[in-house]
Amino acid sequence: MTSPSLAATIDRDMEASITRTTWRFWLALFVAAGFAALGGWSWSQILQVGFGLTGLDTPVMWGTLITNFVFFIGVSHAGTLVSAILFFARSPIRAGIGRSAEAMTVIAIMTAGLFPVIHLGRAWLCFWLLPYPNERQIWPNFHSPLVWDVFAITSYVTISALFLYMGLLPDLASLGRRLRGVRGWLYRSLSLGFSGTDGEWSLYEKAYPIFAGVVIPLAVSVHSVVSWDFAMTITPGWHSTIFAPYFVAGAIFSGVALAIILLAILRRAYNLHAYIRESHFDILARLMLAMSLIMTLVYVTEVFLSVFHGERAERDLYVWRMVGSQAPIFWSVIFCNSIAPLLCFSRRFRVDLRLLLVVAFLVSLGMWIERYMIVVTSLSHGYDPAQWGSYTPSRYELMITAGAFGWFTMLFMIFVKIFPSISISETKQAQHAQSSADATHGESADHGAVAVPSTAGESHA
Amino acid sequence: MPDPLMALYDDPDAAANAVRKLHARGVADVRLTSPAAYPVVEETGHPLGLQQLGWLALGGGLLGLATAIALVTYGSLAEPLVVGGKPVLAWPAFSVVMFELTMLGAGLTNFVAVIFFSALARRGVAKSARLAAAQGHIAVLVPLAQRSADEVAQIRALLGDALEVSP
Repeated sequence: MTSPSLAATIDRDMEASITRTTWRFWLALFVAAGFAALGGWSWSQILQVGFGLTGLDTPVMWGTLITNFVFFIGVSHAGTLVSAILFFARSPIRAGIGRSAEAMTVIAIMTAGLFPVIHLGRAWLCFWLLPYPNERQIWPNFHSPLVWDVFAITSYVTISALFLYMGLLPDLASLGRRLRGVRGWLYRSLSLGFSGTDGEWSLYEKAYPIFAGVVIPLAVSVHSVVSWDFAMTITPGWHSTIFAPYFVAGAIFSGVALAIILLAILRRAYNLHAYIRESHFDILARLMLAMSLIMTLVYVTEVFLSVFHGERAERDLYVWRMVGSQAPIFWSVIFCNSIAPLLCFSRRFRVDLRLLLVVAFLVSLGMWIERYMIVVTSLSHGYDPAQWGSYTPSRYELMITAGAFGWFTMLFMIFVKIFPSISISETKQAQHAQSSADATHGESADHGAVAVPSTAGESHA
Repeated sequence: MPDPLMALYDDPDAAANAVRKLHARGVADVRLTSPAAYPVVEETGHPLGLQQLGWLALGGGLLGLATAIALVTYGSLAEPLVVGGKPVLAWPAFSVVMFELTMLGAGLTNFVAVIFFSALARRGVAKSARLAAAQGHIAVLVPLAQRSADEVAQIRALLGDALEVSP
């Protein structure tokens, strides 16, 4: 059975997380918005003056802007994918981490989507990306991976947003009937009339697996398509058949690392220790470790194939990456993505949040550098030595990069302030399932579901 | 039509027991509202199953696929340009757009179907029961129309372990 006081505690804690706001929240939001504004200002300078303000020049025509695009698409990957997989696995930890992970997905795609538009230069013509004919009846080139990107990303953001929204409906309905004022009105309007009747729950339970089944292949396809932006060219370092699985694995890896960071902050800020538990971080750390091992295999395979398959330009590129002027970048990637995560073999690193945060931060940093390495060093070192060149990001590009992280953080903070960051209905369901299991087995084990103490949520940071 | 009998529960297992007892007694038209998808919501059931929703999503997916085929075919033939030596209608290259729009169609249809059938599914459920669910209770509803006083008394007895029974 589920204790009524536990259900009430869950309601009270989640309600408090959206209605009580401390000065720390406003300060953090102000800082994040400040970075976002800085990025916006830098973009406005590029719009006024032109792309000469960036460090982009022949042969490196893609730099930090496209690096950010690939990085944030990667981050977006893990949220919905992990949430959908946990749903099929009927994992009790989904109640604690699913909502934040799905929100992270949608916000990361919204951030990533800015970069192709910024990179257009003439951003006001971004609607040219849409599939419609110009005045000479010429349509976009459907053979091009860049057009595939438009379809893949818009489909993914639409379905991910609906997946998130569908999960929110029961909570919005419940909050809308409990809260007064504008907030109550907003929740009632957004709940689309959901009332918690048996028929609605029954439909909801049947539709959710279909949604999750649609989301998983879509998520895999999106980063595969992004990888084909590179792999479909003949550029050394890009033209590789392993790029799609390489990018998908890297995306899950970076997404899980960022999810760990966001969940740890959320847990601390809103005193959600009873809902986001050490066992959740333990599982996420294991997933991050597994993805790190896969990434290491990919790095080894990539180097092995390039050095031994006889293509001179390819071999030269990888030797240059490893021992040339770009070696610090290459070895930083190896340290952050292949060596640091090995610490997660130790349970201490998986459950001690301070240690795990250091590893997750290193992985996030390593994955950003890896994207930079793929984009920049490949273009710097093509087939023709006369065309070799270098690239240094300008301060405008760096400010836009900082702005992107500020924008991402700001949107996430606004999301968790307006909507419950943990699914209320799923938490109650998971609590009931765990109580029933404990009653059946006559014991109280940690199954990964919530364990709401009566004192939970009494103090909010 | 008189208000239905509404029994409130905090414990999903107690609510499930009550529904089972009512069914055993021959009371089939039981409805309920719940704050979460506890197993009890499947005790009363809904006529639209996973298979029907799946067929609808498949239909939406096929519609998305047809849209994609029409779009890439018409778009490519409108001004047939040979790019990179590829045929104008290059189906391997088009397969990405076709896949994405298929998935988009399936997902959108699934969402619209849930919203539409949910609106049908909540018809006839009292507002007080919806409020009870929002407040964290499980409300078991039994219509009183065409029931004798004796039957109502027996039903009330079956709902004895509820927190509150009204009217």
